[in-house]
Amino acid sequence: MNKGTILSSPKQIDIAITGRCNLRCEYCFYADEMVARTDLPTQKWLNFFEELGKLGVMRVCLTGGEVFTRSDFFTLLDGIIANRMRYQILSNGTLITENILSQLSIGKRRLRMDSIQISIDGSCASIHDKSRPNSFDRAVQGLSLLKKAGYPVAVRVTINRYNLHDLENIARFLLEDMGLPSFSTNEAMPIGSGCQNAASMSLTSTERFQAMQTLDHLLKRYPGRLTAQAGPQAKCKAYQEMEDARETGIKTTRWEMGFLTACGCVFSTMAVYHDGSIVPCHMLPGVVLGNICHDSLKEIWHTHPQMKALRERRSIPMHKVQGCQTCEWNEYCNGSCPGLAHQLTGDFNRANPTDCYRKFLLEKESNDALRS
Amino acid sequence: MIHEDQIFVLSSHIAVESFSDGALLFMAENRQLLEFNLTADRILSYTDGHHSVQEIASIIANMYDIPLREALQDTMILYEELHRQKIVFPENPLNKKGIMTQVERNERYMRNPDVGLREEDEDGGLLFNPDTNQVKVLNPTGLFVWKHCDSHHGIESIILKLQEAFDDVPEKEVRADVLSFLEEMEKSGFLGKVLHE
Repeated sequence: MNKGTILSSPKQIDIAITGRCNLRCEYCFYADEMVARTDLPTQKWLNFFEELGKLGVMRVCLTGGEVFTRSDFFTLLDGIIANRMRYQILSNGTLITENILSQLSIGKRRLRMDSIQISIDGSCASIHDKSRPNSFDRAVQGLSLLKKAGYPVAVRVTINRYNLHDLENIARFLLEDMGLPSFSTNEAMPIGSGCQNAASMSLTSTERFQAMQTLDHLLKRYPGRLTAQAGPQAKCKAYQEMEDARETGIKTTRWEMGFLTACGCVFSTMAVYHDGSIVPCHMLPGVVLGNICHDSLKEIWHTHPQMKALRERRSIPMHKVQGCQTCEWNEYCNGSCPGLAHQLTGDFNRANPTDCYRKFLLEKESNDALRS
Repeated sequence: MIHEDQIFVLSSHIAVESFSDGALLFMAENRQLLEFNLTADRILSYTDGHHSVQEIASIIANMYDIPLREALQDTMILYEELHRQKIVFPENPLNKKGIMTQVERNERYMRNPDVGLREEDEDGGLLFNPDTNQVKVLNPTGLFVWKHCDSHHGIESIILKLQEAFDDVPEKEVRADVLSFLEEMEKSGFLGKVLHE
């Protein structure tokens, strides 16, 4: 890999500033051994933000756990601001009160905020609370407060077996009743708690196909107002591009088809857990590269063998990837998320099985046959 | 706020007809006619992109034999009003093809302390203003100038250092390029001008 193609430091760091959460969601990736780790104290984070400032890191994404469970949250926020960065918050929304809003409005806290994302998984408590117990009313209250005060609020809907049939109501609730400009969707992943609860949460191929159809229908009703980086909507787009490429012989320019090119994260971002563990991405909790308390982020970014391996993944042709050698789609596939591939196969140089188009087609065909 | 070192030019939408006792000014944009007295007409005639407010005030003071302070005050008030009505505009340093006044030569800039810098090896760098979410890509010479905007180096000193550090900087264009760079960076809030003491 040519050194010139690697940025001097990551542009963004995703930081889980706490492992604590006031909710126990069914599909949380922060489960098991993650909650057992200890939160770093305030000063360690402030030192880290200083390091990020010196490296010219531009923004951080603050997540958890639930960020607002940290009593020193605003001290940390001010540390980020003092070190010339912007920030984004991912929250369950249930702890957002008038007091939190007035705290957020102090100094440059509001000016530097890119967005605050709240998770909403249903159009009503009876559906939302199945995956995010006892939280709908408080989450909606938090969302309303933020919207009313004019904060750059975003909503993420994680599609699972409980809310699959509620998607139309969710869209109406968020876009019409709440008046949000848009919302994004994802899918419950089989990691963390989602792994333990996979049977009740994870979509089957047929259900995923239903979700794709519903989302396609909703996109026609609400053009441009549903977005996705992953999950059924994103997969639908990727699968369509694969079909188009095979039919026309023209490959998409969004990624290099036929190679393990799916993830560009390792070229611009890194992630840190609440105990200071540095990982390439929060989707790769098992690939610990060091700790912010005693390792240089810059050195890890440039020299860690695992970072290099993840970047070099892009040059691996799909026809050489274990399990994909004989696939008729390997010339058009990009292997999808290395995090899920690692989680499910133990090797990030494999394709993510949950996004496999061939598997999707086969399962759908067999389920359709069974049904008919 | 007008200051005495500023140089103005007339808007291209303006036509001035001088008479023995004053002038008529036609504003093409709103088809308005304005009447000016003789002193204002004299000031307009020196609004040519070369004379500073101070220099014009000095001419007026000599012409009418009045104290410079009084002439300066009147001239600045007039320019304030002309600028407000978009009849005159401050001269762009670039229009002068890199010719700087003594004041400009000593002008000093300082970096916005909220702006972060990412240095990208030999490729230059990238500035990020987290308050405005603006990004500015710098080539190696831009990065060099940025680093010297430390409130101590004047423009002339930066240009000299730049010529020393880079062999391939064409002497003819460097001055205009540096001025243009500084002007743009100031306009977009990445740099601030150090006020005269």
